[in-house]
Amino acid sequence: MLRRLECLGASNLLGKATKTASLLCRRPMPVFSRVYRSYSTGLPPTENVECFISTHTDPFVNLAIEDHLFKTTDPEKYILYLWRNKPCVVVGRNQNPFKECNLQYMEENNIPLVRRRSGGGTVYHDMGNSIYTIFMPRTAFTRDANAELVARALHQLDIPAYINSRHDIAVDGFKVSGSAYKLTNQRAYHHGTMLIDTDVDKLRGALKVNKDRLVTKGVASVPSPVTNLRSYSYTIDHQQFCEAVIEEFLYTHNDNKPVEPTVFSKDDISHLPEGVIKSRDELTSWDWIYGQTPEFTHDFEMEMSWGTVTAFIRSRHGRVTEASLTSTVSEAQEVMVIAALEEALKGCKYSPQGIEDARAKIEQNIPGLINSSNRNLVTDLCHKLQLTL
Amino acid sequence: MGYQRHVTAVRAFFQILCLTRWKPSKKNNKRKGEPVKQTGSHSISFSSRITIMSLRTFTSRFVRAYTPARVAPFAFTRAIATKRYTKEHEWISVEDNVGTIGITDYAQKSLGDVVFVEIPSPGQAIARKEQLGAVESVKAASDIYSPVSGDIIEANETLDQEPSLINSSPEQDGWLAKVQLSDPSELESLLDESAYQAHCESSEDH
Repeated sequence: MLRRLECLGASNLLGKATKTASLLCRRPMPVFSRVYRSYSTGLPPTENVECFISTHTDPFVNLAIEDHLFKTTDPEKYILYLWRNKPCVVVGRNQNPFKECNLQYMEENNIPLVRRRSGGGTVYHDMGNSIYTIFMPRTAFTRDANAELVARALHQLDIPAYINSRHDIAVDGFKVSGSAYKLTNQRAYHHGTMLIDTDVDKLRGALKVNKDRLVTKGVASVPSPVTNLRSYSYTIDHQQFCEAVIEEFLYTHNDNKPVEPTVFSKDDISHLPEGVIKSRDELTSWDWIYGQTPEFTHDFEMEMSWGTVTAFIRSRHGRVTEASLTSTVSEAQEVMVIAALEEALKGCKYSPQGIEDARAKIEQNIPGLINSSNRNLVTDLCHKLQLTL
Repeated sequence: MGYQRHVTAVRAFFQILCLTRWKPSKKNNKRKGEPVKQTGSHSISFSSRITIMSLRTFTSRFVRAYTPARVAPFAFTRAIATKRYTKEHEWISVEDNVGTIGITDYAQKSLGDVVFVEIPSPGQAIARKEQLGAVESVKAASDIYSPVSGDIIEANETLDQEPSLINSSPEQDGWLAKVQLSDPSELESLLDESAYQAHCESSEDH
């Protein structure tokens, strides 16, 4: 307690920029002497653990930093990395975002979609959700060890957390943390969320999907009832959580010897290493976010004012490979344009933009097919398709 | 070859078993175990014929010159495909310079139920220890590495529909990819079956 007050006192002298960093470590630590640059060119660490904190809130940057740490740090060490993101939805490596989250709600509320590299299910992140990542040697990997470490950290904050049968951290029967894991040749990582004070309404809105007829080969999420730690503690926040986890981590893996965390500061984005920038660029690309979607089929019906259209779409790598639109209309012009739309959809992205692209394709390749007699029908149909996808 | 002898011995045993039910004919007056010289003028009784048959079958075990027609010996069949293992629990079975790669039973047990498999795209080159694909299980997402260098000629698309093949048949139907080897000498640095078993026994399971 006294240490924390010291840190607070010292931070007033060092300025606001260092406040976050100094609250999080044992001793007040000027941020600018600890920019990423010093990580790569500084003295080789003598400890067998390392701690990193990111004050960035861009989910792509944070995931890229995690990826970079995974690839460049010593596989024999235990490494802790703490971060949090502004509102976003993160799907697992092999998941189908069309099935897992409500993309329209996310579009309306400016919530980006992110695909991470580890497996597991879909989660909603925001500033009330803290994330911890622990890197360890492959031989030391177990699902429970790190979850128990974090649960013990919560015990220090007087929160009665425990590990449930699905290896999640829970309090009072509700899940407060979800985990995902990745294994490679020499090392493994376990990252998990911690719901401290998340906007549960937005969480439900973003993750609520009802597409029973979308059949996918991707990995399915297992929904669980969740709760915020805020319900069990008035004072807990990101700083407290990070401090408690660092303390428990050092106690477990470093004989309680203190280690100064390295901070990736939000104010210092130009100093991020090249590997991080490259990884971030890959994570933001359409090919990664949507193109990695496993194959799926979706069949649905659309009730329009002029008839019913039954659609069947097969998609692979985020693009339509097969489309079939059967309608109840009988007018020649209308039947022709629906058939043209069916053909034009092939190769287009499975997204509202893709529907627009298909329409543009028809207008370009067969000018005059969409004329005054069927323009309304086409507009209606495209709009409805965009809503139902 | 051992299998053939086994069958022969079993057949002989049952024939002798049948023989004991028959009383030896007084005509021949021979003792069991002595070969009977057949002469055209004598008619041989049924029981004698059985004796002759069973004796021939029995002695064929010991008379190398009299060997029934046999299929290619077991050892020869096994030599066609060479199977090697890596310390990271991948296996490769090489036939005609094409290696079929997958993960071992030990690996699938530690992974848990496989829910998704990322298979490679055929037509690309792969280097030894480069990532070939990945397996996602209820436990974790794990990368799989190629034990050899070469060109990927085929990937097991059945795993798209049935990722659980990796659990049910990891070393047969759950193969991941086939690679045309560019450097067969790489196989020599891999483990053979006994070395791999020893490696598994010494590692701890997680």
